[in-house]
Amino acid sequence: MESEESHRIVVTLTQRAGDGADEHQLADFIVSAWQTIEASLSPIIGQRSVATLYKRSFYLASRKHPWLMDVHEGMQATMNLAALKAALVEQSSAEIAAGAGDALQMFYEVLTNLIGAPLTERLLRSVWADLLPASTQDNSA
Amino acid sequence: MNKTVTINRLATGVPGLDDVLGGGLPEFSFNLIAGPPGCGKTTLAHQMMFALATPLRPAIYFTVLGEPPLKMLRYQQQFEFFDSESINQAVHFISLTDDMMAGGLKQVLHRIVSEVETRNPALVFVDSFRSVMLASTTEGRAYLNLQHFVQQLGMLMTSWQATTFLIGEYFNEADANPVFTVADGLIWLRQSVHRNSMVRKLEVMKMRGQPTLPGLHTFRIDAAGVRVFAPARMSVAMLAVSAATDSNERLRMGVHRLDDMLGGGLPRGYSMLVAGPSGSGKSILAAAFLAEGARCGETGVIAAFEQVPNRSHTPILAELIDKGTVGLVNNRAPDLSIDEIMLLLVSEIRRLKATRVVIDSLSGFELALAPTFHPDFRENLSRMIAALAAEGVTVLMTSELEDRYTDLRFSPYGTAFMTDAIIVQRYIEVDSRLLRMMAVVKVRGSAHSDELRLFSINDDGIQISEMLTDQEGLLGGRPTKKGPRDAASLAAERPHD
Repeated sequence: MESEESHRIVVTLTQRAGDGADEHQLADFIVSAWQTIEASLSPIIGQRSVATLYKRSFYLASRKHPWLMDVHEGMQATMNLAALKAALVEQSSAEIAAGAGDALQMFYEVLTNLIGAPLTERLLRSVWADLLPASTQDNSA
Repeated sequence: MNKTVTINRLATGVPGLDDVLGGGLPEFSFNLIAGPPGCGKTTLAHQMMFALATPLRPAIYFTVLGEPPLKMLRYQQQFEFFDSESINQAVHFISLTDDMMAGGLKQVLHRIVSEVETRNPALVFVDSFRSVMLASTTEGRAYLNLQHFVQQLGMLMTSWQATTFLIGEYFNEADANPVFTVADGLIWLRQSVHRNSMVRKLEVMKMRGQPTLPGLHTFRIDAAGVRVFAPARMSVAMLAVSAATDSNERLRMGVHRLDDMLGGGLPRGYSMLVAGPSGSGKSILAAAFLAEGARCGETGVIAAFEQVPNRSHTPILAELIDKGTVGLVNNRAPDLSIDEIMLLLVSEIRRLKATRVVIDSLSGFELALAPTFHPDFRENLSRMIAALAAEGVTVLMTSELEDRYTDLRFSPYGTAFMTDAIIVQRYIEVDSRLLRMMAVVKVRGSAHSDELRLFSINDDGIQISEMLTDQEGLLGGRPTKKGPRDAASLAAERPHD
């Protein structure tokens, strides 16, 4: 169950890593992605629900990327994006792209599982519009 | 200047609800939807919201603590009315959970105000209200109490020109909750459980400024959402139609000699009860009635509660149903109500412009209804017969009746008085054979035969034959042969026959 949007985010991250973006640039991009997601979803489903989904996504992604383990540990009422950034910059660009890309993909999938693809797409439409510039979308299409 | 304000009535998009509300939902009203968990409050709210919201006149659905929004979205999207595309355009979901946790009712109210100011919605929903109430009781005096909250919200929404709904659980209708006074409308949903049968019922306990239909109205929730079965109403126009059919015209029954026994056929617009024991030929008589209608170019509707007409039992009827000359109403839903059957019947009658209606049988009908409707069966049946009469149709109902040879009964429901004409069928024993006998008991306002006639059933249907003039005590089931003198004296007493 891989959606087009969640796949595109992974492609974008890998491209950026390949194009020579450093760890800090990539980490900033990922943090801003989560900020946009939180901004779109928390008014609708509540901050806590978003934080729980975030935690779940990193838990699922950490099976493949054990270094993500730290990010989801402990119960938080909000997303701890500072901790995420700190964990990201420790890794290589390629690792960041793979691990954080996986986590974003998991988030998309968990949400799709809960509320279905059309509604997920509807709720996150603005997120992808912000994250994926038109040119990137054209390339992957 | 004597111009009163016109209150717009919004069409709720819930079938039947506008009728119960008395013509729709008053615009800018402040309403409560209350009832126990699982009774359909959230579904009703969503259905109305998706029907009414537009990008220019959007809706805001606030969720407070109750059902987690993720779950609500997960389940509500199963309904056909749920439209993902309208979310964030015509419909905005806003979670107030965080506000509630951070600052209680005061902050919730602030947040509602700021969202309403930003989005200028035409519709506002707050779900669930119970959580607001519970939170208010745990809060100290420093915070806003519930009554103030509701009053402020009500005032605010009316002045912001938004139609508002508070969705709540566990309200005890007996206690004088101040919320009830503030609200313009009070829609109460219930579940009536009787053994293993559950029927959903809705009551509009209050709707300021309009004549609602009082009482409990059955509703059902299926893939399409909520559907309310509003009782059939007799409008003036419909009564005029029935008056127009009040002619002297008689309908042929499709059974040779029966029309003569009825005094020339069944008067149009009459309701007839055919009562008799199992297997006596009631359904065959009913089928003949519909077939005769079809022969005369009339259409009919049959509500079949015993067996669905099929090729082996009633081939003529099965063929008419296949051809579309006769509409079939055959609902076996476990929460079936008379109002739903009435709705189905009336829609079939109007669709086919039917003039003949058969209900086969009342006994099966009563059994098909959910148990909660059994105590009121007679009242509802009487209402249904009146509503059918208002449609201008001629009705034939069958009723299973155990032969009792000590008395003469027509129906187990006391329905006999409701009907205009009655035919009774019975078994009798003559010469070690079980024979069938039929008599016309009543045709309102008309002369009719008083004969007890033998009849038989063959491939061509019911064949009525002669009276058994040489027997007496037929109603006792075991007639005895009269002497020749008795027969002669009977003939002498009745020279007009």
